[in-house]
Amino acid sequence: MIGLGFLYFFLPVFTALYLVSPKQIKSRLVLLSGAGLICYADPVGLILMGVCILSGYLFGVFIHNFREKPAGRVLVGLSIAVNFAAFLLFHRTAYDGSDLLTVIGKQSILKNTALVGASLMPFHSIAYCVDVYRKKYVCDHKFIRVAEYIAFFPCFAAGPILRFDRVRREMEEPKVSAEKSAAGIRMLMLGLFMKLFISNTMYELWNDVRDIPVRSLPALSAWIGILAFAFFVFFELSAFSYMASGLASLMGIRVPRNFREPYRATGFFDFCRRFNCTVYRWCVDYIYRSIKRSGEGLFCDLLAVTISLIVAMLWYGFSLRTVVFGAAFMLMLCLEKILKKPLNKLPTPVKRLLFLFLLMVILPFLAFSSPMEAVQYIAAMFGGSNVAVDTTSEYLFGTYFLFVVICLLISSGVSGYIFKKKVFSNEYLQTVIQPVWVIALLIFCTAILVSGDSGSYMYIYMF
Amino acid sequence: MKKFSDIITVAAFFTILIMFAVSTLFFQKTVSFSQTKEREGNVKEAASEYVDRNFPMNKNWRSLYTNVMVFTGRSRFGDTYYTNGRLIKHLGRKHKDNTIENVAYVNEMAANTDSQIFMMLAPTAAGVYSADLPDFLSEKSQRETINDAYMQLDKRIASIDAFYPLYSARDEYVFYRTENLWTSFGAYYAYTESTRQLGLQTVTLENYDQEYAASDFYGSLYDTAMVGGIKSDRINIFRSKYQSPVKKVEMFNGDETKEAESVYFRSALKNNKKTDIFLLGDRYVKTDIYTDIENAPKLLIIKGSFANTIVPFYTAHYSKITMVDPKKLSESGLTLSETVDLDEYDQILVLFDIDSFSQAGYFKSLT
Repeated sequence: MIGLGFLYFFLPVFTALYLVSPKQIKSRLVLLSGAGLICYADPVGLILMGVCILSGYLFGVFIHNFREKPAGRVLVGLSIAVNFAAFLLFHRTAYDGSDLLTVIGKQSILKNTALVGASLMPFHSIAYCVDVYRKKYVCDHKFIRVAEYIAFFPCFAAGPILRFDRVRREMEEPKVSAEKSAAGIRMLMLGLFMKLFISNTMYELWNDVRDIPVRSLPALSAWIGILAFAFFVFFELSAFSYMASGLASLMGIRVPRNFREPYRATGFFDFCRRFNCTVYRWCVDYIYRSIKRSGEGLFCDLLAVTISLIVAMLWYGFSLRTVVFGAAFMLMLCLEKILKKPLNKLPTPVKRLLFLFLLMVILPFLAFSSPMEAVQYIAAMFGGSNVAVDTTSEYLFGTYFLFVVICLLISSGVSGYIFKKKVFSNEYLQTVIQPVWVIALLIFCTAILVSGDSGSYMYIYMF
Repeated sequence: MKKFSDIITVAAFFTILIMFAVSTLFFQKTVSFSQTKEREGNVKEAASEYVDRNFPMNKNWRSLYTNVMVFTGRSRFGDTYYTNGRLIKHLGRKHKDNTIENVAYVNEMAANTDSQIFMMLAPTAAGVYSADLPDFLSEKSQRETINDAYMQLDKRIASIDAFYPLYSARDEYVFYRTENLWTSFGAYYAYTESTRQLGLQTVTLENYDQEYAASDFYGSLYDTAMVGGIKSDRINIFRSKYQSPVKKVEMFNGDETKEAESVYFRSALKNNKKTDIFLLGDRYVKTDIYTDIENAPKLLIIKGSFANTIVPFYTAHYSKITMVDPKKLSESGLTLSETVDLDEYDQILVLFDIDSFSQAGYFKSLT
């Protein structure tokens, strides 16, 4: 999805067509572009697109008609089953292409497919059907509108997951303005910059550390490595979310923020609310609350959290690493719940540091395919190799110091504060800086794309 | 005011996009779409390749990127490292290692001939300047890899140590700064070491006139990392002060044959790959070099890229030198025995750089 072709050809052509198209054509154009992108990645993805759109639209209509009757409940269950089955079948990791079948030791049905939108369309379709059943809104009889929502291509890569009632009006009457377009371009370029300059570099740093045999890995290098992995995870996903917001804004549609400085969280529950918020909200609204409605008590609580977490982790890809990391994360959530009172007494900075420390300790489970390797890596973080610092640590520190500082500034919210409060709050300064900033980002991103150095790290946003 | 800024931003952004897109499509002719399609095989890859290759100011973008990255402290660009004013290609830890398998093929070849067999595995700049590279890049040094390969050799095959002479001369200009090859100086040091084993009388440098064939050469590593501060390479060739012994050079690649009277091909200096001045690089399956030295032995070289630079020095000792490239043999579906008669030669030299040798998957063609 990211490349010179996308930036220099797809983007201007699509934007121009979108601008000149009459209202009723715009939705078709969005749908066609989404289908084109899926087809470009792998035509097999069109099956998933068809299943999600058709099931969403048809079940939506039927559920609307039968929602007062017991059949409504059956229909909503069917819609969830169909979409979730499609999700399980088509979704996979970008790392090694593993899917649900490979995780349970079987041979994958769909080989070598990197499906675009597999993490988004089933979630949109389920959200639409459940909301219609819950009478949050009535179903839309315009097929193209529902289809546009379910297959809204700007969010294909890594969300955010949208809600139909919030984007419906803007999809019906998209209002493209200079302000929205400029904001869209700014977000798009910022996302591209995060992906190409920061995320890819952090991934390289992580790869450098991962390549060192654990038995000789100094503790400092291990901590640098896992910090790089943490930054990579955050910047990779938030970069795609920024790009999605930017593209949507160019189309006159506002999409919700997906990341709220997650590494400033004071605990694991807080982290869930800040990291990829729309996935969290989706799991809370459609899984956690649904289970909670059917029963009370600790067992129900635990079941609701567990299933929500499993689905949330599956969203990041089907692999053993997501399952194991999910379990470790669950353990942390339970501990936090049990120790809620003493933890609340701690000062906020201490809570933040404690959370970050614990997150770093469990992150190797997400970073390694094998849990044993992760355990060995965690041991190295605590001096398992009996070496604290060596020339490798110095090399890593020297080479990537500036990048790590940039990551710290952005993820801690300092750079955001400076830009929003000090630079973009001044209208005159903003007039000059905004175009210069955008063009500078465009020039730099183009330089990275032309150099091709990032080619091998293009589609690694799923684990 | 805000609206004005927004309009400027949108207009400038899309103007730049459209300008470059139009220029890529209509004004750049680096490669045609049909060429990329032929190479890539499918339209998707071809379109992507076409845009990448034809994007305007390609070199400027690359240079900008590399220099910004160097400024931020980065020294690695893919598998290329920028250190101490030179670019070094390093395979990293995860490269495939076929060393033992390839040595076995060489042993098998040795079993089919009575000629004397020698093997020279030359280090690359990554081995000689390993102190300038991060420690974690490889588990074992090139020296160890070369020694391990030599240990596996059949007793009949004599090993020639090129590592020590090159390492001793590492402060001299023995490797190009921007190409993964040794220079004529580097080749000469390896040649002097080999003459002892091959039973030859070393021709000292005083017997050669040094000529700067090119002084503005930027090699293939520079395409990966266009670091601003890096000096261009110079290509030196050594010409005998006396009459060149080379009578005729014949090159074969399938039905294509080429004849010349020198081992230096100046036409290559017009191309990007100027190091092809040495026997046109790796273009031919077999190259025969005939000299006017009578009653001298004949040498067969099973060659990698490093061999071309050293061969001019051997022309002073042999009546005929044949170079066979096993990679080209494999690509042509030929075997060594179909290409040359091993028993025709007095000596056989397998000459590769260790990186190419350990990665090569085409040595089966020798058996």
